[in-house]
Amino acid sequence: MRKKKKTAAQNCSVETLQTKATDLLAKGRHKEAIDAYKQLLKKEQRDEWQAALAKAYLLRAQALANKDMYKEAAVLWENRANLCTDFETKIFPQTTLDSKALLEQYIYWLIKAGRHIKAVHLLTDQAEHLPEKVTWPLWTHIGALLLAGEIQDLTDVLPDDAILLKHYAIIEAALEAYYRGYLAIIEENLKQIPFRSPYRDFRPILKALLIFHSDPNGANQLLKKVPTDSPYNNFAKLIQLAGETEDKEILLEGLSKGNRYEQAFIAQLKGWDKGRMKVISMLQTAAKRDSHKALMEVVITHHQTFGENYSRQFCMALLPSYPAGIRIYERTYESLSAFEKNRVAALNNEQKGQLSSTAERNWRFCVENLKKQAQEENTDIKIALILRHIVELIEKRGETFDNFKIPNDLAESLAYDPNDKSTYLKLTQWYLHQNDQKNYQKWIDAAVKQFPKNGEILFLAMEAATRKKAFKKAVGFAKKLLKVDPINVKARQIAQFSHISHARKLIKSGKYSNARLELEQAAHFEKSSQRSGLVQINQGLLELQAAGIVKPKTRTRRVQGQTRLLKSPQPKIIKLLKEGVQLAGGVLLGQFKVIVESKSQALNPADILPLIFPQNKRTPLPTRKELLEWINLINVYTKEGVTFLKEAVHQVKEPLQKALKLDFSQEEMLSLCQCLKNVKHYMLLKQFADNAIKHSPKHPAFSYYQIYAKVRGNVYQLSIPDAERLKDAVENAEKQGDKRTSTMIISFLNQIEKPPFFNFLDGDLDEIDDLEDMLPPPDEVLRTFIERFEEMGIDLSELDDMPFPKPPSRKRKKR
Amino acid sequence: MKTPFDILGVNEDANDEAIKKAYLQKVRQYPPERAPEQFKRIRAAFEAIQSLHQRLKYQLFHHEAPSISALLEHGLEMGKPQRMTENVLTQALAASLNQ
Repeated sequence: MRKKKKTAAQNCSVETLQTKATDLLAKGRHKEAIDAYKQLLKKEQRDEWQAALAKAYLLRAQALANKDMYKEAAVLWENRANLCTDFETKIFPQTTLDSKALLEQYIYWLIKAGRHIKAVHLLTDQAEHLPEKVTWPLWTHIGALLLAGEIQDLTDVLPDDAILLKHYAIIEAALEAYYRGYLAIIEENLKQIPFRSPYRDFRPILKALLIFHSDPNGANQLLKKVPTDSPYNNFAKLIQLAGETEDKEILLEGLSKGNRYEQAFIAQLKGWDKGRMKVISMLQTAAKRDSHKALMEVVITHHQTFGENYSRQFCMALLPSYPAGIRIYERTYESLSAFEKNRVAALNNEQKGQLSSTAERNWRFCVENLKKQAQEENTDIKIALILRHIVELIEKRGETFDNFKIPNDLAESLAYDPNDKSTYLKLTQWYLHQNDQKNYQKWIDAAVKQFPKNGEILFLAMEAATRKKAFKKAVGFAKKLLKVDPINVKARQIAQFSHISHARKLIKSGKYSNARLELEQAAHFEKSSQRSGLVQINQGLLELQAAGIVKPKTRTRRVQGQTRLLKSPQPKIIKLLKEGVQLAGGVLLGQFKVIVESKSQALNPADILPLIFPQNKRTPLPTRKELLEWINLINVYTKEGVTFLKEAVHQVKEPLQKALKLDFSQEEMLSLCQCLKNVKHYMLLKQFADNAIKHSPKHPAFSYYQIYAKVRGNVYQLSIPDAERLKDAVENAEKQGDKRTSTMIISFLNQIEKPPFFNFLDGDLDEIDDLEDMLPPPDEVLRTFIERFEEMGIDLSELDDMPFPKPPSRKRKKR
Repeated sequence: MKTPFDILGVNEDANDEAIKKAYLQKVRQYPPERAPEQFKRIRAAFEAIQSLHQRLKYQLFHHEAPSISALLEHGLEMGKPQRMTENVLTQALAASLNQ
């Protein structure tokens, strides 16, 4: 068969064979290309084929060298030289760069193939043809081989004064001194090795070995000086590996990759004896198996090497990942307590991601076990920590506010360890979410008792007192908080607000002098540069009442045309009110504060406003800044629980309508609309939304506000086209990535899915009573009518004072 | 993975004071501006065990299995320094040259 093939090749025409040979060479099939060109040269000696054959040999040799087959590569190079001698000079003239590079390559292959003598011969013979940058690394490599004992003797090959031999003698003497521990001699010898020496890179290595134990960092720095292309680089890395202190797994991995000579070197450097080497070997096996069982076996077998105490701790730490090892552990060390067994089981379940009842049950057993061993150290804290951990597990399951075990566990944990602030915070948060005011307050009181000077707790207590309208208490907490955190703005605000609120209470009960003191104290909490005018307005209102100029509203309504003031006010009172308005930051803000504060004291703003603002003067256009501050003011009043904001807003509708002319940014318009939506002033909301749509027709939020105002926040009044518009708005918002708007619209539309009217069909018929409660109160119905009229351009401003018939009282059926 | 006790080089029964002392010593050894990574590890270790509560929490709930590295830390500690022999060095050098 083979013969047949040969014949076939021989029978081929020259042209076919040439095409085939060229093709094979181009495709990198060098071996076949060599055969093809040899065939061609048998037929006819052509220079181009000789050159191609030489090239094929070279490429084949390089391919073999790339596979670390240096011996074969060197032989092929030599074959090429023999077969292509005549063309050697034609292809690679001695002077060209190619030939130098190729010769360097060949010498390197010779060195790697172990044919050192020939390599040295070539290097010395060709020295004048090769540049130093080519010969230098090769001499360095030969020097390293000499040091490694790979080349026994070069005295016959090199002249006596050759640098390689001269410096070898010095470095050998240094090494000899190192083996014997003569440190001074080493230094002396190393100093004799100049920078231009083939042993240059060995110098930092030997220095590093000298300080390996005394200065590991310094040794590492020296080893980093060995160039990466140096033949000593691998050796330097080996020493670095031995010095690895941060990650011992790197050391173990390096050890397993190294051969026995390298392992022996590291062992000697580290001072490991045979026993230690055996442990290392077992660790290598365990690392390969990557099993907890194997690891535990190694530790137990070699507990003396690792230390008794450490081995026990290590095995214990393995148990949550390898609970089957409990038996081995107990056999070797001691029996585990019921608590430990449950703890291991709980952690194992947590590791498996079983946050459900399994892990929780294990932890509860742990608590029971600990309660039985109460005399042991830190048992109380352990119980508390486990109970809190159980709560964390429940929270991870997403049952934060659905699971009634949470407050019990947290409360119990505080009985064992009361000194945990976050537990108090969690408890108060939980009860606040459940709207359980009694327990909420109970835990706030407990937290304050435990942490009387903690800013977070005091803040919480202050907020709770404000929410309860316990203003005196709130002020007390605010003062304590300001002692701990003097720049706490919120504490100042709440303290001021509480004093003002308390003053209002005192005014209502006619205790004017006490009220004056309260307002003075409220003033102390205001920085002179940031006065809001609230104190002065309230002081003015107080004095009006103290002087008997105005009286709080009673149930009887004022008769049309009746004088509003009982007496003429003194100028100093007017001055106080005007000062308050001025400090408020503008006419709109001043008016609004006077309205809200008057109403808070059950006074009629219509009696007060003319004293401050001339009636004939037109309301000025508010500034943009004033409008934005007004939004903040609304938010503050909302948080303070002011319930008549809609009416108050209605009374400043004129300047607000004028403000429509102002140039607001889109963000500001959104804030304004949201604010009007919050106070449920649908008329103004519609006007602002209409205006905003003119400027930002594509913003879905403004379409929503427009429709929301139109249906007066009642989803059941939505017309089909409006519902369609809202659906489009959701789509647009989602397209624009405006999640806030889409969520807002969706939650509005979702109300339609729960028609309250039909709920009673599934329940008790008594719930019909509740339906009655769902209907708006009659006065709200009336206000709605007034607003609707106003929207139609009918002025009903005086309607507020008209004597409306009292709505019939609704009698609730007794349950 | 080393335990915070291993990182700070303290015993598991060390108290607050000993732990703080070890932490400050380590920080001096690895200041954040020179060794940011080591400092981060040291800081995290300190935060994990600085108080009794933290230590008890770690002892009760830490469940990451100790790795072989932790074992090596104890097992592969430096032994008694030995003098290097010619044979061992030259053989290792030769092995590294033949790679």
